[in-house]
Amino acid sequence: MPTSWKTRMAVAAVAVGLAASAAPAGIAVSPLKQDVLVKPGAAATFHVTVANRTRGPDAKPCSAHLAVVDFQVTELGAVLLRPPATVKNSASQWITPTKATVTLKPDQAEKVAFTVKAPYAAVGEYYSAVLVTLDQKRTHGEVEVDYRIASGVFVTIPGRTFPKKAQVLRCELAWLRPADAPPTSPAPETPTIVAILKNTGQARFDASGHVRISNKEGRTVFKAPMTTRRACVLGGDTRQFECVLAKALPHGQYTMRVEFDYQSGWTKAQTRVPLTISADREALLAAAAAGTTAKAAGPAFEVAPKTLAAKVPAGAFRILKLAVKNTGNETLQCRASVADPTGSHNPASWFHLEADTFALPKARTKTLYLAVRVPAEAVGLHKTDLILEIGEHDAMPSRIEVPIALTVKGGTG
Amino acid sequence: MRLRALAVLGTAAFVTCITWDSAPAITGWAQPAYSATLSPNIAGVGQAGTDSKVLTLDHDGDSTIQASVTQAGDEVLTHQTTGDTLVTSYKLTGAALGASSDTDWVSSSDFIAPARSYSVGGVGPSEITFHVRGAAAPARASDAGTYTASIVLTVLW
Repeated sequence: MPTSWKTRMAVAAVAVGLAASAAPAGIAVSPLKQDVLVKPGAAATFHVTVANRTRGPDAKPCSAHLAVVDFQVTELGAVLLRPPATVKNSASQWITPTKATVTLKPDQAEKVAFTVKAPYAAVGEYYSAVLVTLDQKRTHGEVEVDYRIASGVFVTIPGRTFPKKAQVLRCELAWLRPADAPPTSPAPETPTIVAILKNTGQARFDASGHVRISNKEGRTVFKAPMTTRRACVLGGDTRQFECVLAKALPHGQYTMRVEFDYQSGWTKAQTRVPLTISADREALLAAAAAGTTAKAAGPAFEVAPKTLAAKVPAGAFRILKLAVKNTGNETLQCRASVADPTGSHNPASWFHLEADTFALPKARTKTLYLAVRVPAEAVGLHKTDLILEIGEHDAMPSRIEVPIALTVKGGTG
Repeated sequence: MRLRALAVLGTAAFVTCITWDSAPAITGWAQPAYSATLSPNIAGVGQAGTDSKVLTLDHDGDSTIQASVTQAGDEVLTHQTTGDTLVTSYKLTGAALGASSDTDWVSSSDFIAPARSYSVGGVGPSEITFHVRGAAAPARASDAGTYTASIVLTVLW
């Protein structure tokens, strides 16, 4: 290693930061999405509320910038924000905000009005987003993270009925690498049924679908729901739906049928395609199915919701609910407890679990009731976890932690 | 006839200005802006520094997070004066992200790619950890000094 290089690097000692200013600031926007109905040639008003979330003695005012922008949705369901009036079916050119910047004191919210003026000859659906960007004081020498919240605005100008129309453009069995697999890992390809649904009409819809594979005798050998990142498909858009084929199928000829409900009320979009499983593919399918089975080994259950959050006045009593569903074929033994963190306030002692140990037969759901009584002096945000230990008889249980967040406000309610 | 006309006018007035909320009521970043430093400081070929911060997102329903930049290249840790760059990677993790949580470092270009988005399910507050990693070039000396980058995290419906 050359000396000059060493010196250079020793001096370098690169100081890089992931940073923004230390000034307290936090924004909230409401709603995240809204529909606006405005008659042709008329005007309508809608509102977006921006709030400064910070409180306490060190809380400072914050300001946020509001802008109306266009958006597009990709086939995979990602939203792309675009400059105003650049996208087909943009409503941005008709939307005027009453203000472009809000400055808010701590714990203050402001309802900003927007006016939509619809042209006479523009019957249909149009879209925009109100982009709220938290203004931050820039400090040099750091990596900065800016926060934005985009609130979707779906404008409908009525005048005639736009029927919901959809068509399945493509359906195939693809062998995909898992989306989260590192590029360098030898992750096996996953047999995935991929279908592309196109909204061939002008009205948006929420789509859901499933796939069914039947053998030569017409007997269904596989059936599963198709999933997508964004169920709402705008007029003219296409959306990709996927389903992992987690089943070993003997080689041979099959028929694959996908069917989508797109809120039409009259019909569904469907297609039927032949599916050939070769001997090679049979082995790959079997391996993939075995991998899936191995992954799924252990207790099969679902917990909802994934987090428990509540706003509770100080001194108040609340009941929180959590559902545990046995999705497997064995009876599960379950034990629930509340984590016992240290600190000046210990939220674990506020909880009472109606049943902390129980058996859950297959396909049954148990609702856990967590009674919480908050002390009068416990104003603030308190966090702990509900711990679930779930396992089959004599097997090592799986441990699930469900975060609990209690925002305790002053006063008894 | 007059009643019918009034009814039509009434309907028209009603239709002119209907708005309604159809999605989560409140969504917001719950914490103030923050500052952190990659550690350790980079002092040799191929060395890397990392840092992470827990961000809390309040949400009353499903939402999506996407990363982007204001100007092209902002995502890469770049020397303030010489323009030298570090190999920059990011990831977002957290139980609330479900299957969309990153399991490995994501290159800065992939992190801000429009195709990448993170689904935040259910009701918050949700803790999401933002990670950043900067690494010196593997076969040459990086310039001494401060490197900066900038990322925009957007929450949307």
